Amino acid sequence: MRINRREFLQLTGAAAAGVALGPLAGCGSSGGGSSSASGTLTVWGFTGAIEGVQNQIKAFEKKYPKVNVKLRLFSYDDIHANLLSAILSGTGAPDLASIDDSRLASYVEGLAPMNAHLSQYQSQFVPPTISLSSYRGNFYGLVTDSEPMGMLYRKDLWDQYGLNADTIETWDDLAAASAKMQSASGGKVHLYALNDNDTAAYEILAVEQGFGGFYFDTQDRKVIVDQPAIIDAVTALKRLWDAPGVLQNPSGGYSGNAMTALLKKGTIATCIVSPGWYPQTLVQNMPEQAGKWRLTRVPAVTRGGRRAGYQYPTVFVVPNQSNMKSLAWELEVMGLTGVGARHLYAVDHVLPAWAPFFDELKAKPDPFFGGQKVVEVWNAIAHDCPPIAFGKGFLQAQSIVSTHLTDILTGKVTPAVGMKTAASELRSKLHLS
Amino acid sequence: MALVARAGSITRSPRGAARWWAKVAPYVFISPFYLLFLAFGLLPILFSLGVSLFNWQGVAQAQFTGLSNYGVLLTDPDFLTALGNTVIVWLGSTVPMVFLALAFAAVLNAQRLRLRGFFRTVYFLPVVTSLVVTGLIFSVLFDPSIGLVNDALHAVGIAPINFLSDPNWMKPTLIMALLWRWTGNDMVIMLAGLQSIPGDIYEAATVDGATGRQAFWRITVPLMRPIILFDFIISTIGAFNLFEEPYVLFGGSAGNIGGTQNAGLVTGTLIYQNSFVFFNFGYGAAIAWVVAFIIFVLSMLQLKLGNKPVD
Repeated sequence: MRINRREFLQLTGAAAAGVALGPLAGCGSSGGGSSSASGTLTVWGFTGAIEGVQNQIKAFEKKYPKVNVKLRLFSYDDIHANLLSAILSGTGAPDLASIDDSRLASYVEGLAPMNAHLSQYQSQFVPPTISLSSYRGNFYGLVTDSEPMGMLYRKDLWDQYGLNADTIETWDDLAAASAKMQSASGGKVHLYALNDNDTAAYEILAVEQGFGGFYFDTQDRKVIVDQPAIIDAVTALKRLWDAPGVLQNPSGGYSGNAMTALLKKGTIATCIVSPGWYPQTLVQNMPEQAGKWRLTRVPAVTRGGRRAGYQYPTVFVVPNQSNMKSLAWELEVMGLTGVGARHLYAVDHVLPAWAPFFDELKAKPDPFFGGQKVVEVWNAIAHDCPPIAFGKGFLQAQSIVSTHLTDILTGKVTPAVGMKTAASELRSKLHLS
Repeated sequence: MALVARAGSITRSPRGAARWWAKVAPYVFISPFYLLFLAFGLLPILFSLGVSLFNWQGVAQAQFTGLSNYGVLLTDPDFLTALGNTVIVWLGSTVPMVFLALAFAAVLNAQRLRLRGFFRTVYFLPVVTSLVVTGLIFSVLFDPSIGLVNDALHAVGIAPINFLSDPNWMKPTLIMALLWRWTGNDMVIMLAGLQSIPGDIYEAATVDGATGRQAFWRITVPLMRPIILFDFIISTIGAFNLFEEPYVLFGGSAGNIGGTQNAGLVTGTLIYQNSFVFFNFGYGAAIAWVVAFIIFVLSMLQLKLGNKPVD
């Protein structure tokens, strides 16, 4: 990394002030800027992630009366395209922007590394979120939320048809339970649903097999989708797909409207793909089912194996073009810790990433989940995840693997052939080894 | 001597300047187009040709990879799927569209027809309708649960069809949307062509005892051949650049822009996906150039087949 003197001073100044004011960070006050700073600080964000930062703008402007914060809201797709255009054209980038973590690697050459702040915030954020907002050893920003993946199930339906979640250790156990559910319910209730092109289940299995990059190694140098452990995982997925009683291909995937309707109707008893944000879908759409749901870990590929998955939160980044990097960082800290983090949770109900607040929630029983302390379960899952890091070609890899998963699950090719073909396509399109 | 020459040039300069201006003026007047075309047309086109020779992802430094993007393309299942889908949509929409447009134009060109202006406006209305509205209309019409089309099918005992996510129905749905949206546009082109045919030819044909049908097939269609050919070529270019309709109808998520099993993936959406979703600009540019080459070959072929002199 090459930085000029101004950037050096901003970073070291911010770091020094950060160390001095570290204990106050939780109160929404962190070092970095001077109260005499002036100018316009531009923030780009999208709904569902910006609310914490948005909430802190007034406090920030009060602290820096000569700084005017200009917030521009974009759609999710537009913010990514516009930020890329601004970075490529060398002008027009904001001082602070929210992007999806799965796309971070595509922007890193245009972003300011925030390594000076890493040691201060590493312990303040739930693992593996810091790894998510890092790329090849550089740290680029804080995330808004945690996205561990668990399995949500209707305890009443499981009980009614003689199933016990405690006995499900592997995906094969779940496949066997699906057959049992089908015969016990006379085909009225499906234990779970799967889509043949949905990579979400594949991504859980990749994490379970120790591949935190899902499609690439965590240094983003090698394609891993044809590794023997991945082929084993996809073979397990194929058995899960072939199990009797599986509801195949609900329209819109695991989070689509059709799936929500089927869950509400009680036609499906389990969500095998459930990231940290997903319970809110249930709470909002089926309040009458309060008390009937539970959260548990996803099964493992092999008995005794890892039972955890992870998805992609939102990360706030500071583009290199910004002349107000330390102020942007300070606003980011204010928005994603302390009052800002609490406000974001109050509005969006996403699982927080800021550890002090996350720890507070751990002790709370959740009435929708029959009094279960669900955040404690999410916490355990998150701590079991390996470091997660997405590569530059993440979305393209997801699309390619999705096509080949369809061929594998529908029986056109074996898991080994399908994943090797996917790997070959990935290597040639992304020029990787 | 030098002084004399200088004096001469001074006395000649107003006429010389006028002559110079007379020569240059046409170029000055047409220059805005060329300057704009250079800045926003030719340079980006040439730039994209250069980009297609690089591995350029996101904001990272591009690496020269020669023709490797083109090599990958030839065996890329997504490209082959998109190309196959595009050809089906092109043939499925262009042929009936040209036929319908000619038929509508012939009817709307009839002198006896009342409210011709009203009908012409109605047929042209879908062309100027916002694509968001078009997308909404088709989403509601073809919805599997609440759609009017499925309601009608249900009334005659046919099970609901998932037009927007059943791979067997996605392309026919797209073709229907294209016919609805663009037939009016082609109709206007045909109408302009029909109005350029001198009326005395028809009068002569009538005097010779030709029926309306004979006049249509023996006079209208042959004389309209250049217009029909132009329309075919324009529609071919449009079909291979098709983006908005499939994007609105099937592009549910960034990574799955072609819908179920990529049944709605066409070359236009594939270029967009690779360039602006995956940020794989080199590969996206290579696809764009291959598609441009295909369009060029098809256009030349159509010109060769259809550009015969009219007797």
